[in-house]
Amino acid sequence: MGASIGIKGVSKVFAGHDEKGGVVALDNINADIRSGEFVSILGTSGCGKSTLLRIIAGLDKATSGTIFCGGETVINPDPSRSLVFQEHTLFPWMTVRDNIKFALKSTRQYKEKRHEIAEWLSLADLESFADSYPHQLSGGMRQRASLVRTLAVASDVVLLDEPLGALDNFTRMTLQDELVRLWRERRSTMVMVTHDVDEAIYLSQRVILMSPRPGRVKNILDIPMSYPRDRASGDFMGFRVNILKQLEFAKTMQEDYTI
Amino acid sequence: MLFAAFLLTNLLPNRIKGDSFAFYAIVLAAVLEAIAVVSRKRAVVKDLVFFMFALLIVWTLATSKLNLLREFLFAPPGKVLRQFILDYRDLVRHIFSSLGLILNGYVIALAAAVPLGLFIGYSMRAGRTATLISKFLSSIPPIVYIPYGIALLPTFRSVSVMVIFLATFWPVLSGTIAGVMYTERKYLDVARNLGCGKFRTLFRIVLPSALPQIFTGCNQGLSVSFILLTSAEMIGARNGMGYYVNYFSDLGDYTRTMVGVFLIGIVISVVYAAVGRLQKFILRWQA
Repeated sequence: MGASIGIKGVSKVFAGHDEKGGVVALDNINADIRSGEFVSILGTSGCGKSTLLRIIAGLDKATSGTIFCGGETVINPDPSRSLVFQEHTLFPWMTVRDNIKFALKSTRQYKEKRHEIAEWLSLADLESFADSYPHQLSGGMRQRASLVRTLAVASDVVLLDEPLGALDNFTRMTLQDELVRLWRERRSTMVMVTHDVDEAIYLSQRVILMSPRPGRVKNILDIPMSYPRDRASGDFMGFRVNILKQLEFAKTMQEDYTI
Repeated sequence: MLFAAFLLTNLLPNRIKGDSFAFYAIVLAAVLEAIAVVSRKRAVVKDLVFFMFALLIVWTLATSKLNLLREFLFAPPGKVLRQFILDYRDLVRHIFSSLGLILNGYVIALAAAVPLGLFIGYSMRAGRTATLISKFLSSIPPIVYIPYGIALLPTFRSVSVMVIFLATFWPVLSGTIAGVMYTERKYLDVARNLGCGKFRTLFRIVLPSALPQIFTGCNQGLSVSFILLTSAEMIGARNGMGYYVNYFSDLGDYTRTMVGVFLIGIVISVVYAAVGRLQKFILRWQA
């Protein structure tokens, strides 16, 4: 079971090129993510959602505010909070198996978990590619391997930075199903950044909507649908319209009689 | 086809004095033909053999048959080949002498440049300055250090090793620094996320990702090393392939001079091919 995450008054200012002060990327973000929950952070580009994720991971520091993870303050990156990036981050000089092995060894759990490698490989449907190098895999396979490498070190918290963004639509939908399956099996806390409305609704229990410049939390939406979800259901469409409206993409139609 | 053409050219009457030892050339041609027949599928081999036949025909015609070139300077192919076989032992000794020097200077240079480059590149600030410095120093052709080498070092061998060292050290150093500095951030982020220590990150992440650039430096060093070594051997050595060429051209034995020239070409190509194979194997993870 994953850990809970508390985001308390987090702001991030990037230093400008001159003395005048920098760009405010995040402005006083507050949110609580429950243990084992799947939450998406949704917003247009420039709303600072990736920055927020890096701060939760501990890879970047907040200008002010605090992140709590399982009750403890986040200061440094830690294997218990793993980040999955948009492009695959498999090390190209290691085979798929060696990538997972390297991750386990780095986190000093190789001895206890070496037998799980085969399981992970089959979970990602990559058994026959275990000894291939990343460049020999397709984009979808690479991202699956990347994901599984992250999950193999048994993160309490998995942070996903548009993990499926670089894939074509069909591969993407397949991997969304995989992601739901993995999450339901492992019950880790998952926080995913995305700009795909459908993806957010399809995967998450709650959606944090963010608005850009400066990045702020606009609204937090519950998606009370059972898994697996149906992309074509009426409820699904309802949430879709609601979110698009809030993001100001679905304008209320005004009848126009002028010629 | 060309094999037959070559045999026919050999039936033409000789127009030079003395034996042209056509027998040896014909044996070589037969071997080439056999190779071409055996490797039926590989187009590259076939084309190469084709080229060599063409060369042999032109060479034979220009020397023993039509005597277009000066007989004193250009020996017919058979004669060169015969000399190759007669001098076999000597040649092997010269090859080992040259390769020994290269290996010596090269290995010392790699052993010094790669760790130093890793260290410098890993600390960003030193890396920028060092890149500029090593760019400047690698732009100086190491042959100009020879006077200092001769003045400071006791033997020809040590001077050669020094020159080869310098020819290899700077390109490998700057290649390593660049490779380390341009390690992609995402790999470093993952390493950090996994809690990798400094050494683990350096040897498992930074070093492999820098390898392609390190190899580029190695190759540059190798080709400059060969140029420098053969030139140096022609000037001041008692051994080596460059010495062989120079010694016999001084004696007016141009058959052996040609042997030396071909030998250098063959040896360097073989070394390059071997090094290339090795690198390709080490970098097999690259697309």
